[in-house]
Amino acid sequence: MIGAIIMRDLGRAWRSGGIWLPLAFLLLIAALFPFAVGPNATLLSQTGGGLLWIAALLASLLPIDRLIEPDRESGVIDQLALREIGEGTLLFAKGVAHWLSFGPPLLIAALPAGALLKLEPDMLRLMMIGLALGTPGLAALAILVAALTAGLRGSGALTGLLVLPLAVPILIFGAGALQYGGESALKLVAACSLLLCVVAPIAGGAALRAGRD
Amino acid sequence: MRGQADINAIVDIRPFRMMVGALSQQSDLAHEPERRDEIFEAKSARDAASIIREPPIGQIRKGNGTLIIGEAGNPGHGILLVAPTIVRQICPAGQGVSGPAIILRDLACVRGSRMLFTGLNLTLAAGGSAQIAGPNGIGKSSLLRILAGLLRPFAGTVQCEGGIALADELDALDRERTVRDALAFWARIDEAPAARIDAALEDLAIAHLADVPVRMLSTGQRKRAALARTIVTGAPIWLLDEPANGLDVASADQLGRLVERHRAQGGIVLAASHLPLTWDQDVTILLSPPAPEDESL
Repeated sequence: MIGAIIMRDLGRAWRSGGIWLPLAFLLLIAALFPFAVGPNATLLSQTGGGLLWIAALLASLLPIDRLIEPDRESGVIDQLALREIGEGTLLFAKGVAHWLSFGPPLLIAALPAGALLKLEPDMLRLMMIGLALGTPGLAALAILVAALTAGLRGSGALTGLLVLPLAVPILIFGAGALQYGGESALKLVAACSLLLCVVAPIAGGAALRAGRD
Repeated sequence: MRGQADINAIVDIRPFRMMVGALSQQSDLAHEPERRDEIFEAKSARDAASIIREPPIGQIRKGNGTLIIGEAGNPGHGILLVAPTIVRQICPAGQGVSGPAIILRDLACVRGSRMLFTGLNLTLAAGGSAQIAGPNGIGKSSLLRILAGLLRPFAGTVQCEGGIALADELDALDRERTVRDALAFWARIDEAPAARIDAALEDLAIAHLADVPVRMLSTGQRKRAALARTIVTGAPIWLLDEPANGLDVASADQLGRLVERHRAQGGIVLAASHLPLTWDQDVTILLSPPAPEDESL
């Protein structure tokens, strides 16, 4: 049942080009950045890691208006609730599908992007581990915010406001792991990510239920 | 303030031959032999409505008496009207409810600080069907959503035995997928056999559209696809919200036949519609706007 929901969401992401979007997005940023700041290898390798983290965060938010709202609008969420599939379960499944549609492509794209930004091999390794740990948290955050803003008109600005404070810890520790701290910062990334993964389905589920009345 | 389902609401009773009994208190007609046997022949819903307006029934209504309207010879099985605003259908005395059932007790619904209806009672057992009628915005859809567990009732209890399938104005089918694939998702969720999809498509005469994306369907075709989803579910209780909307005459007749088949198999159909439907109703509940004089209640 959860599998059916995940497969459906993955299928939707695939058909809407959602799999290629984060990949292209990350590569585009990594390719454009050297043009913007100049091809200074030291500068690029110092700022490139943080840039990739910001790009990863934004890539997780790209499809945010397609995560929950279309299903709410077309009655899918009502129909699932009718079948006594909890909102938390639904959001968990949606979170998994969302991560699968942007996490792995992002990790793949991070390799050539790291090369474009002249990241050191050590740094790239920390970057990949950090992204692997942090992207599930970013996926959960996107689901949470999508659930909170489902049904609101003009939710774009609100989305930004909600995401910003919640994404900051992952961003700080993830990018910080590249500069200083190393593996202990990665542990904090994992902790933040885990927290979001647990909280998002519960809080988002409550938001969906409240939005129904 | 009180929305009401009043005595004029009984516009369709099956069979039309009915018995109207008058009681001073709420009790089973069968236990008061000296006051029974007001048997009327009502050929149509309009007859039934006019009979219950005439004396002596009309006077008893005004005096807040209790009326039982039921099938002749089976007074316990019918609709109990408690003075003067509550419609209650009671089960045959001594017979417990088994199989699918809907039991609503004193249900009230408030939407946006407005009382839509109160004191709604309804019991439907296997094979039963009811229509919720009334003007737009009176709470028909809200009632169905309460039954489906998607809205909380303001007061009262809802008891539904058996799975529920809701067909409202939202079709819940993925636009970009084909009709068959979109239905297959729900079949997977409901753990229904895939063969049921093709059968349902045949039933609703949209088998030729099985491989067409949902977004290409017309309004009526989409409605039929949503009804197919309801059938695929295999749930005994169907809640249909304006099922005739967008359907042509042939499709509406087809739906009527499907509903009759579902009921013959022990299913329950509760439909909200402001228009007459193409199948027989055991009871029609007319939700009417709250009367100004009821403000004090």
